[in-house]
Amino acid sequence: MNQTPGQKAAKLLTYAILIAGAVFILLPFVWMILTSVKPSKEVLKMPPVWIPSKIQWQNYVKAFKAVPFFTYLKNSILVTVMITSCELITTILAAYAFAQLEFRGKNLLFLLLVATMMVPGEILTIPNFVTLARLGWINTYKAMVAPWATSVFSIFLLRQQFASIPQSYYKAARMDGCSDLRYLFTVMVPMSRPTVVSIALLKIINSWNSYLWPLISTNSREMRTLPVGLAYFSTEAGTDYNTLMAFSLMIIAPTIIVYLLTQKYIIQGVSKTGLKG
Amino acid sequence: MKRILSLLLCAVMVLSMAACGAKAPAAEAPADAPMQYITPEDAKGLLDDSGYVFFDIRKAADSGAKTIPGAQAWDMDKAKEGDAEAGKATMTEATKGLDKKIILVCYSGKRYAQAATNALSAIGYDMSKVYTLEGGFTAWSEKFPDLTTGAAPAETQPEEVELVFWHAMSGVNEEAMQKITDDFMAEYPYIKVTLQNQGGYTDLFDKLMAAAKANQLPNLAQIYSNRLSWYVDKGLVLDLVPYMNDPEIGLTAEDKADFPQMFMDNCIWGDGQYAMPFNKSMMVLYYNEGMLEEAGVAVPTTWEEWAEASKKLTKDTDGDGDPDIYGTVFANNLSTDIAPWVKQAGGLCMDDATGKPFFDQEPMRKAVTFLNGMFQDNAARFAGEDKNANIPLQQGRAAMCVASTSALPYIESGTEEGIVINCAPLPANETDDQLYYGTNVTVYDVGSDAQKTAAWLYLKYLTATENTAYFAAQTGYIPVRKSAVSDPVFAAVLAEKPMKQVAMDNLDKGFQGERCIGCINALNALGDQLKLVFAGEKDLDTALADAQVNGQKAVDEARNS
Repeated sequence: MNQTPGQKAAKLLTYAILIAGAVFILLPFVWMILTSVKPSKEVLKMPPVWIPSKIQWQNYVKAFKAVPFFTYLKNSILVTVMITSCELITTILAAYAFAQLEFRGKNLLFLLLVATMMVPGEILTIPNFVTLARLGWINTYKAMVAPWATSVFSIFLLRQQFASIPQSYYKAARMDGCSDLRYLFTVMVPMSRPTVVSIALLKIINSWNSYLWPLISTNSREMRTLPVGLAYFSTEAGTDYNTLMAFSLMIIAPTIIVYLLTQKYIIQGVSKTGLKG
Repeated sequence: MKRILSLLLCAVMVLSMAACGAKAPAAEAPADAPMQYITPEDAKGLLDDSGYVFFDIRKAADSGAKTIPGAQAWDMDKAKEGDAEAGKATMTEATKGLDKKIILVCYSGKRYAQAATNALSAIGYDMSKVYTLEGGFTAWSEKFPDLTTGAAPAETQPEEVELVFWHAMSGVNEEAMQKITDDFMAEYPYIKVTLQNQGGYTDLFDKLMAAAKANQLPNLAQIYSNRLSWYVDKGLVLDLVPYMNDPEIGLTAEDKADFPQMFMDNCIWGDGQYAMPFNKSMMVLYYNEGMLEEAGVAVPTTWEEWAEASKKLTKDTDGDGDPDIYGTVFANNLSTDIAPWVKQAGGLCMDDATGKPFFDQEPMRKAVTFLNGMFQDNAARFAGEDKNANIPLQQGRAAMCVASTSALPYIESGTEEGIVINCAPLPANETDDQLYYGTNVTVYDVGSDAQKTAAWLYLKYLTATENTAYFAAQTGYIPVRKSAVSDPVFAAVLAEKPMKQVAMDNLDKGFQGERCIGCINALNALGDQLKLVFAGEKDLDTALADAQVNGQKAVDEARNS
């Protein structure tokens, strides 16, 4: 393909900017990977030491042994899957109702829902704990999942997406004898796939990384998740950064894999909604 | 269809309300599961039926003494007392892999059986297969006195108790704690202590607060006295005095005197003792031996010497006006940690009895003026990005730093080659008071009497000379008993790590910071003002006057909430 020098220059510039951006974003990851194999003396050295003087794989062994890794991994996966599926179900149904159905008090209800978004999450920790404690749910998966089983923000997002689908689809589907639920799951959801996938991914990333609630809602090691394990490596007197980084890498590996598998949808979702994880 | 969807919508609403905690209706205690009874006569016919199993759910001591032949003992006492989780746990254990009809045997077929029925129902056991023996073991033993086994043991076994201990220790600290706890359980086989890490200190204190509001406090918890004051005020903490003075399980006068008085005072409110000291450390001045020697500076022992030394040791090697080596580095938050300089200037930060701040008084002014002098001379800085003040010291970017002796393990493992670090008590002024800090372990006023006694026994064990010595030897902390210095394990550590000796040598000059309700917020308000002063953005008098007003407000608010 023939390109004018101007086009070439523009392309070059684009790549230069992209590469600069990538370096900027990747540097912390590179530091993390390198630190995870450094001896502790080199971790905080000034000026920073990039390449460890010797590769210390032991950090990984130490990180792996410090907490019951597989138990935490199992819990992380279970809780993330449960939260995400619960949220998808509640969000899709609620968004459909608000976008498509007519019922009394719809707007008031929606307003009420949206109003709950104004309450900052930190304030809710204690009331949520008290509620779940009274239900006797503390230290169970139920307690870890229930508060996050729906998200007003996702409902809001999906409702806007559903509302943008022309009514004529609905009418046509009804004419062909399609029920509401079938219409929802065979027409609306597939048409909104990027948004639904974005919502799911945001939730997966959020619940995978969540620290405070899994810590507060559980007591025993058998119920804890990976991010809670991070606390093992720091005390008020100092932090073992090298083992902490080794452990962090083990934690983020699954999210990176999920991202690689689904990046097509994330990019579609981001370009459609302007949101990222 | 629409109706179904609206219903679902309502469900979503309810869920999201719960998610937001927006006044979700308070959950009622779950209703009792229905019970089905079986008469003793019918039950007798099933004794040899392999399709049936008898669960004796009375207290372990009773089922151990006398029961129905072939019955399995599953103590449901806790469940009867309202601990549904314990009940579920026991019944889960009991029904693991079990596919038989269950006959529950309790005292009279009422409360224990109800608790077990609830637990079985909650864990999803097929309730059509669960029966309760009518009249319980009492009725059985009246009707069939021959069909009982076991004789009352000569000596009754102590009741099994379980304790939960919430802490914020991790790494080697947690391992040392676990070891002491395992030893304790070996010595007292009927007591089970479960250590539960609850994250860092802030996480732990947040969770304790939530648990207090939900009536779910653990038996034992690690806590700072400035946090514990609220729980003491609310009557949630067990007074240990009766246990300490008990002739059988208490402490001797000699034992009591073996605890440094300031550690004990930190646990005493009025006439009550509400905690025992646990992990303690001292605020010290760490210094780089090589740098001091090179500059011909002696280790400072007074404020003047310190300011002078700090100035001399500060170096701007590249001449850009920003020192590359600072004389002294302080921890990032001087709010709660300002106490030693105020005390050394002959005063106090606050009146612990009334909660009145003394932020605008002379000792505070003297202390802040002294510290501010070092900051304004550019001879001192905060840790900033380094997070811990000892980090720049370990890397040769500071000559001295103020930090806790609990940083010792990090200093040992992370100091650059060629740098030798030592430490000294804080330089003195009018007095040479030294700040000690660290948490205590408290016993909450929850659970049975047996649990409370067991909790005391555990505390006594945790603070026994050999155990506190072991803990101190393994971690960066110091023992809470004076006699620990002659314990062989700790003595060996002292010989090897002379820096720990500094913390032991200054115990009689030690004090612990303020702890009245609201003092954390008041001192934070002071800290906010001090930051402005040290940054040169506000003059001292206005800042201290503002701190006094804000501090008093913070105390009033905390007291009224």
